Amino acid sequence: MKVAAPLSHWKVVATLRRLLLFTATGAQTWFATGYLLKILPDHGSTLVETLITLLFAILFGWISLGFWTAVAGFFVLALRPRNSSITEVLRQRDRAQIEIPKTAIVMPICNEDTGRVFAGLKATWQSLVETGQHHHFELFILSDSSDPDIWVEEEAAWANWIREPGAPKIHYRHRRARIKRKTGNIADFCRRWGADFRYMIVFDADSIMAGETLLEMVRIMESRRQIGILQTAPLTVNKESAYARLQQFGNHVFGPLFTAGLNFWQMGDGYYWGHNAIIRLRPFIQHCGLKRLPGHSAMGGEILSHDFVEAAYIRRAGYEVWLAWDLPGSYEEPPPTLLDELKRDRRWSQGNLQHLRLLGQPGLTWTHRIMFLYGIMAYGSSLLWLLLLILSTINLALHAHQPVSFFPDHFTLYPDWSPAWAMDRALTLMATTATLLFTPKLLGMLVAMFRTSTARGYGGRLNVIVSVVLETLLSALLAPVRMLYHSRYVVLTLLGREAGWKTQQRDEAATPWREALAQHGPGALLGALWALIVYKLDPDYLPWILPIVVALVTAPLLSKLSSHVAVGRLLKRIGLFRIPAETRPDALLRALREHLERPQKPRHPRFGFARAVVDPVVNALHISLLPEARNRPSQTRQAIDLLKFKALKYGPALPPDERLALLNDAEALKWLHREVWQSLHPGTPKVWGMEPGEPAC
Amino acid sequence: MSTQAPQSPASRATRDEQRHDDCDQLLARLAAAEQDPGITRLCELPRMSSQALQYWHKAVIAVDRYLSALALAPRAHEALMAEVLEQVAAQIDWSLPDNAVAVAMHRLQQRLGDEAQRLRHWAGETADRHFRRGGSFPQIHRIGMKPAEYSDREQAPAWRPAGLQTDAS
Repeated sequence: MKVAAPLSHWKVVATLRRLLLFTATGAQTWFATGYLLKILPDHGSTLVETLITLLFAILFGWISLGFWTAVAGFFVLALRPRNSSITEVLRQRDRAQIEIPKTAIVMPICNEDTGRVFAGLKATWQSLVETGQHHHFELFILSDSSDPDIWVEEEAAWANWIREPGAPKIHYRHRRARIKRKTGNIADFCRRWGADFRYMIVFDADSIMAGETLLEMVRIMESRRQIGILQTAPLTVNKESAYARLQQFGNHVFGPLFTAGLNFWQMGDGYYWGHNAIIRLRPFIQHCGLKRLPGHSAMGGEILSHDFVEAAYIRRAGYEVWLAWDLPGSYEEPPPTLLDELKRDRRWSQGNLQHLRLLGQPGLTWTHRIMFLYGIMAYGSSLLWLLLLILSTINLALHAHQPVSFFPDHFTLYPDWSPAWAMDRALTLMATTATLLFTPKLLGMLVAMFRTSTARGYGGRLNVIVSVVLETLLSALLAPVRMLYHSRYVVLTLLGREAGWKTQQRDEAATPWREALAQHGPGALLGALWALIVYKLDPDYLPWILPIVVALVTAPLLSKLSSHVAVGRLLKRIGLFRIPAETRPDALLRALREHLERPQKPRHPRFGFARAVVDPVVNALHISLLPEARNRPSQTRQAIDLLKFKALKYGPALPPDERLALLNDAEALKWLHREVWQSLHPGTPKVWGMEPGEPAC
Repeated sequence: MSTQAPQSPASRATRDEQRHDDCDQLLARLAAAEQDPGITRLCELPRMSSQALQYWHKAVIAVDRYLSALALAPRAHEALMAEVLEQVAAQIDWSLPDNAVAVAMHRLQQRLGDEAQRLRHWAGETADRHFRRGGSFPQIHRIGMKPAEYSDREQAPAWRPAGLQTDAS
């Protein structure tokens, strides 16, 4: 009997699952909204209440979708039904028979911590070497770094790696003009070297992946030619601040539930998150070039959240996009503090809102349109929630100044209770909403607890329970803070204010009190003021808003405390927010740790630009990697000449743009190198850190 | 013209002691040069003032540092150092020793050659090709990646690489 290939009828299966999911979501939302109408004093007959009802319906639908996705994920994790993962395509295959084609691992970077970048790549490469299949892979570091010091350090780190025995085929390319940011960086790779490889695996600066995972990804792609993009579900690891540990724990416990659930209904219409994914290069090059959006405001210009769009485009071209949620060995790092996450969200919110302009494009699958909406709602829901709170307060104010009459003008046998808030019903609705919000947490906890091996990784079942309860409380405190920020971001974007592109903060410096107060102080004041107004209007209503008020008022303290590594370590010591990746790290994570902790030999007294001038090797290396010298206009030449003398006299502490100008000029660097070493002026070696007794290079 | 200032007998004794210490240090750094009468003689020359010796010492340190950065094999390091210093010692006007570092570094940089040769010294022949532009990358096969038109509706047939197995096969 012929057995059907795995996932051969996925489109039918996916359609049925989506019908089920959206019916459940729709029905739940319908009942909840109807229930709300019974609670409201005017039953939705006034403009304010109509708006409240509308906002409530959207928001309830949003959390209901999350709830059902998590339920689906739980079902998949518990029962592992057929058609639940793309990895099934390898079930009937002999892995040894699958030839591994040439694959590029590309890491676009921009002003990142060089030590961390190379430690991650080295750990990944080490893991790949252990598979014995590493000769099929080449590494590309695609640098867009504009910081002169980081640029030089990247070159030096790359060159040092190449000299090591058994170094990979690793290529370093620095772009002087950062056209179209990360998308342009990847596109540049595709144009130059895309034709040489069948696949590219995209890394973020903090990505690491196990060698066996990389091979499995290639094997899946080779086994199913229709796949255009295969995304893994990276687990967040490696950070120690309390905030990061909280995120890592949440990601480990609840992440698999959601990724399995997402894959349950998305199937071959899945997400691409921009990294830790493998891409079939040819169709990507043919169909996924991104155009600037018309206009110059925040909603126009370059598409910031390019990954969702690329997934939609490659799907439009007939290729599938899958989320390999059950492939282990894929990691990234969370932002170290709440403020770092919020800064990153500014860019992401703008990127997702830009997708509003792409919703109506012809040819996109409906699932990808829904996923665009899903991304928009990730930030838009905050604004809707804020509006709901404002309208509810207005409604309260309207009724506070209106006498309630239970005896209407016409004759009735019983009093009419409807003009009052139905508090008992409100409690029921609130309990229902809480159930939707907290059930995924409960399900995640059950999965973590009842997988014996996993529970040990979390420090035992009791630790799982306590950590989940604490995580839930802290998430509840963080939600209103995020709501305020995201609302602001959405409004700013809609008003046309651009987010800019700042490198993500990845090191773990604690948030200073001043910054915590400056960032969260206005929100805290707003929360206190709101509580006061509500109390004046109707003291009975205050308990309903108290969780939000408490969260806003305590935000500076929470933001400050959670940013500390010391607090994170304390939590670790008492067994809270532990994750299997740290209690029992795999070989890959151990290798990363080793590379990060390996002492730098010998510690350089100079850094970046100064090394490019003084160190004979770094100087020669940098000059060799610069593009061919061009004839510069005489004015530019003169400016560079002046800069040379300035640098020689004052040393490397020049403004970044001046250092960058010198770094881009081979002649200037040659001259500076020669003069610094041969200078007769006694001050020159000193300003360049070449005092006697100090190792020069 | 002598660069040495007149000094008391006591300070002269200290100076001589210092000079010998410097010479010992210098010779210790130049293990290979111990055999080289040209360099050893520098420390013995009566006209070698303390100041000159200081400049000479600086020049030796600079050359040593520069060569250390190139991470050469010890024998190559010493040979190059001895060669350059000997030439410099012969070239410098010891009555005006303050350009010793400049002369030594100039001679060394000339001897090492341009940036590419300097890199070759450091990296060796095999790794060297990686560091040259064009050599640091695989050959470029430039292909186009045009932006997709927003109005495009394509249902391109799935790309089928030659000889690739499919799930149906």
